Amino acid sequence: MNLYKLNRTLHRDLGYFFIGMTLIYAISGIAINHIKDWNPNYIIRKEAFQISANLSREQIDKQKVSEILSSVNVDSYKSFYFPKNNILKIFIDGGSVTCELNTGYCEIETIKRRPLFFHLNKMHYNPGKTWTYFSDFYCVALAFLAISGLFIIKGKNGLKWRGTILGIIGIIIPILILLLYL
Amino acid sequence: MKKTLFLFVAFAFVLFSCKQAEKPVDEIKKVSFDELLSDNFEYKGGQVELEGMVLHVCAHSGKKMFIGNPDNPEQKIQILVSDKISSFPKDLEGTKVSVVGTLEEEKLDMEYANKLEEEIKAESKDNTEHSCEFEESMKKVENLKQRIQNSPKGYVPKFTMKAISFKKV
Repeated sequence: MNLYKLNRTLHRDLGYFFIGMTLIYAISGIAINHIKDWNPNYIIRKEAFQISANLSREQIDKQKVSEILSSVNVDSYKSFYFPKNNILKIFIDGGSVTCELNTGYCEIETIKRRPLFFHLNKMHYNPGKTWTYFSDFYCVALAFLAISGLFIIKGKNGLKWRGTILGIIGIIIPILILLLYL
Repeated sequence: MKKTLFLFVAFAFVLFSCKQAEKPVDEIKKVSFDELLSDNFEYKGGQVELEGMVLHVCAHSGKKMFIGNPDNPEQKIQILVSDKISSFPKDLEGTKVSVVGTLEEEKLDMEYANKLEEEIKAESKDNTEHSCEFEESMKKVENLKQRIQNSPKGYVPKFTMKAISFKKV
């Protein structure tokens, strides 16, 4: 069999086969790359509200907790505890409420999974053994796609000129970044 | 074309059918926060089971969480994922869980305590006034130093757990 033809066929078919994986890693890659700027997995909203000040820890019971929550239209809670003496934390479905008992300042935090990104990022973070095998196979295939791509086109648009120049530039850039910035 | 398709299907079949043989389960020792956080606790390896309330799950990666004793906020431990668990769901917060896993010990000695003290002081240099938070942190360091001095081992152990499984209780 002609080696060029075999190379093109494998390059094409692996490209088709791994289109989903490439998109998963590309989209979640950008999302996780900017983890300092946003939360790629959850949409977190915070809203402040006020309750009466100078409540003591002893005054906080199930009924008082329900009263606090009813002021922000929350009708049930999972549990509550005191992380510090004057701080009350109430866990509600999809978030939590934190109150400073001396000032009466409260904050409700609601957490919702970010559509699409939550699941893409979960896969990016390597969720289990089966995924490890499949993503390893993808990585090997990606290396093959990179190398086989060099031999798709013959002549000056291939390795003889354009391919070599662009390939070298693409290798030099990460090396320069590594040496200068990292 | 048919050959290529056959190869991909065969690969997928192998991937999903290969399940590793289950290892025999070691005996699981149940521990309490009082035991685990006592300076005399000695971990002899193996799996332990700990019950507590989920106080926090890392919202960025979900790869770590804190469980603790709601009646005593000082009693808490960091739980990390392992190759058996990929992440902890955020909605675990506020629920009581039982976690089985292995422990990893960090030895907090006088060198660690001194370094911590220096870090806290360096951080507070930027603030003109000493805050209550600063005083609280310094009190904790003092307390840690006292515990290290009193410990026959010369250090205070701090444990984190690598979770193998967890369930709501």
